[in-house]
Amino acid sequence: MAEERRLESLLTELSSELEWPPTPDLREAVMRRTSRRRGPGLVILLLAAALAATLVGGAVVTGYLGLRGASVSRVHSLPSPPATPTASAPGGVAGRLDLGTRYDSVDQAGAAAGFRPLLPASLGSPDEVYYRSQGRVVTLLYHPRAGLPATEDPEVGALVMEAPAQLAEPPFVKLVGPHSDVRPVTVKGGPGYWISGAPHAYFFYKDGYDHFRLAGNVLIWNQGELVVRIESSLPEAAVTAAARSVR
Amino acid sequence: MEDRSADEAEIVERARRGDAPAYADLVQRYTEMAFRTAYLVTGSAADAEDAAQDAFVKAYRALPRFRPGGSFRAWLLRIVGNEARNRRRSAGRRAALELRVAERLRVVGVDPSPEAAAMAAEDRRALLGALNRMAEEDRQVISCRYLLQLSVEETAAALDLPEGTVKSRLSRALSRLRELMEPVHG
Repeated sequence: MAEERRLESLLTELSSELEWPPTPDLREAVMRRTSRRRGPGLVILLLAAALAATLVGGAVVTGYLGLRGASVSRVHSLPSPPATPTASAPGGVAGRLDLGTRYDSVDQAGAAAGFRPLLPASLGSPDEVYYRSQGRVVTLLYHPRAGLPATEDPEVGALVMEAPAQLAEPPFVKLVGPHSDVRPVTVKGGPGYWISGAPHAYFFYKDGYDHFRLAGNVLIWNQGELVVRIESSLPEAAVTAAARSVR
Repeated sequence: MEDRSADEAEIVERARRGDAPAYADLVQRYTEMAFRTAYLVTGSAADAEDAAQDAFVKAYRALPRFRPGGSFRAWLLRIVGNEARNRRRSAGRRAALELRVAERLRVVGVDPSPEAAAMAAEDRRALLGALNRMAEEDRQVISCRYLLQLSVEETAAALDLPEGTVKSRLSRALSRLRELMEPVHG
């Protein structure tokens, strides 16, 4: 009996010392799926709007560019931009950009996402890694450094975001105004777009509602079964080189 | 503890009436418990995340059928366990879960002397080794009860077993665990 109690005591001690995978943040995804207040999904609206030139958030869709796992819609004017979050806003860069749960390594984030994230060799190892279950998006965050200037967000030099290229619910949804340039490109055999010039609207889901922020220059393309976007202030040649260095 | 139970009962009741923030609070409170329980069953972090998320969604839809005054944790764990087993079955593979001690604890340790630290480390190594060699049904019941600190009722719900079976299986599993550790403790 004493032996059994000792064993129970050892097991109880062990419970606080075990290594568990990082606990994901499920609240947002669960509340999205259970929300009764939400109307038709923005993605569905956008896809319908692309065909019917319907109003979307005050923007008339005039053209639609399809990528697997992403929708890029050309509009006459962007919806009214939200207030720009400051660098001191609560939640840090992950909260401002809705990056999800932070992981210690790319492998851990990949295990949570269920796919092996691609790493752009020319950018080196990321400074931070996140995974957001909504859209199954893995984000590699690179802080600004020499040769990698800050974007609109002073803590961000580059964001590399990757997700399975799902057709049913694209993880990346963009509205592009008349002052942005959208040019089709091919990256390692995959179709994509280089979006530059004026910022465009990048939508994401947070706290039960669709939000968007203004994003700078982005290269987005299909790589195998994934859709990948690189957002940075780098010139096109440097971003393309980074994209071609993924492995 | 009573305050916590009363607080939880009130939040559950608000969620039953359709108060979304109240349910979001419950999701936040129990994500870790649900995820780790699902992880023990599936052996995969990705499957566990999906199972836990699906379980929370199904629990929300089933809230009107939750019996007020009952244990919300046990009720939720039954749904989590079912989702995790379904996911594991559909994945068509055995869980290759191996329990490990966190690296920081292996390195730092908390014991007062090198001898005590060495003994504790040896105990831990033997215990982990034995746990990882156990039959899965034994390991699951021990893991739920002691490593996740679930009650017998909650363990029974998570593993879809009668409470009496949990008690008898625990007793047998502890005996087997002791046998597996005997090279060290005998």
